[in-house]
Amino acid sequence: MSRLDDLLEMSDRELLSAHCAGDPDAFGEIFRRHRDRMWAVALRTTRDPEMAADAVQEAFIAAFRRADSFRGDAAVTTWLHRIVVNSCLDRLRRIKPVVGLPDADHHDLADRHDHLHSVDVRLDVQRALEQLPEGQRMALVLVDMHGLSITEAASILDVAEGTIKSRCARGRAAMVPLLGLPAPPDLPESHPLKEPMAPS
Amino acid sequence: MPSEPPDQTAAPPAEQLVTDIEVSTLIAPRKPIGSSPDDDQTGVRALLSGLPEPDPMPAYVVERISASLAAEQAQRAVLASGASVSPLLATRRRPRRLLFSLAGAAAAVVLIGVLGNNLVRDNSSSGVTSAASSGLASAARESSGLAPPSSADKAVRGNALTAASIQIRVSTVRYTLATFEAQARKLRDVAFDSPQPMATDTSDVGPIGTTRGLTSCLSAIGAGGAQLVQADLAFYEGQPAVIIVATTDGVPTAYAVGRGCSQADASLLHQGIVLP
Repeated sequence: MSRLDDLLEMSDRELLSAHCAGDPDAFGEIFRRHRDRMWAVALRTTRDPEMAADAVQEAFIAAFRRADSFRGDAAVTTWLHRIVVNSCLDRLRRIKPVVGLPDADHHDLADRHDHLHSVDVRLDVQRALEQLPEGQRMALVLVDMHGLSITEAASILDVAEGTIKSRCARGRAAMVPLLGLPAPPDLPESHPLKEPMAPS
Repeated sequence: MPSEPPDQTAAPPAEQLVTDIEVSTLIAPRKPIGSSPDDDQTGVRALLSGLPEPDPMPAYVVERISASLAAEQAQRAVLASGASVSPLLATRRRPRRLLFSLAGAAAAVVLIGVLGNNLVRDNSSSGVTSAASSGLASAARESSGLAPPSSADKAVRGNALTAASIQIRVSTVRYTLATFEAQARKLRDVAFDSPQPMATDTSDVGPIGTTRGLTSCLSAIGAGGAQLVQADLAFYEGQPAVIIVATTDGVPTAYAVGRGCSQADASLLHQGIVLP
């Protein structure tokens, strides 16, 4: 079995352990496996390809150097996500303040329910996401767009699971008027759409 | 304060209100909001999850990060061997130009090519490490004195430079015709130089970033007999280039070549000049 085959057979944890033990090729395999995923997270978080490239580069270098800080209490991908997200948020916070919820009347985002996969829908969704507070936006990016579990998202963002759930609910509720979606019927009184809008 | 019951024809006694609330709570306990994806009645989750995935990481970003990781690995290998080293590639917050210096007073050490050929170019899901990356590992072992080079390593390095020192780095230095000699002297002395920012686009690197590719180029420009080679993947007169300082018998000569320099085509941008 070639060296390449050996690497392909190894789990993420085994690769990280091998890297910490001095294996010169192990981290390259980690990068190869997860680069597209991390790129997607960075791009959706920053909305800027150049910033995303900087953030992902810094993140992988940091992961390379701090691999021995991985405690094994979460998946390697969760650990990588955390480093990438923090790198992205650091950059975003440096260049612009946290954006609060604007008045819905000031936005002219048409109802695109009939064109879910069009470029227009994607742009509308992206613009709507940008209007959310950072906490809600990140919760939706990780949970709804990337399909991570509440537990994983909580670990990545270093908050309680209940906080993630709340941010998801409030973020989705905030997106409804921004996207011109109809308010769903039969919502419980406790649902954010039935409460006054407030940042998380 | 208890909430009013729907039927307001008659106000129930307070005790009954309390009882009603307790019963209703038992029958329909409060459920945390958003406890599962299915709780989303807004349709936003479905909308977001239905968006197309972004394209894979662009090739230029892959190359850039691969180069950074290769530089980190090379530095780690040199540190492990006990040699002194200045970092080669910039970190994000404090951009620096880094250089891998040779190990101690040993006669000749072959260092790692910063940019592995296949590692840089590979965007497929199957390949991972390349001959250059294996060369990375082999060179690291060699420089640390752990194992002699394999035949594969010698093949990677080629036959011209059998006992040579090769230093390759990536930078954003913009060499010019007017200042070439001064800048090349700086490259030659770069172990003592101040930090420089990192290259932001390495998409044109190609084989020249590997030990084999650089060796091929050296043959083309007549520097195949050099005992020490310092190469800077930077810019010359505004275009991507490789600045080479090749030292033969103690005499350093500086060249500027295009990124496509090889035995077949020198791509010479600046004739060799002997550095004082």
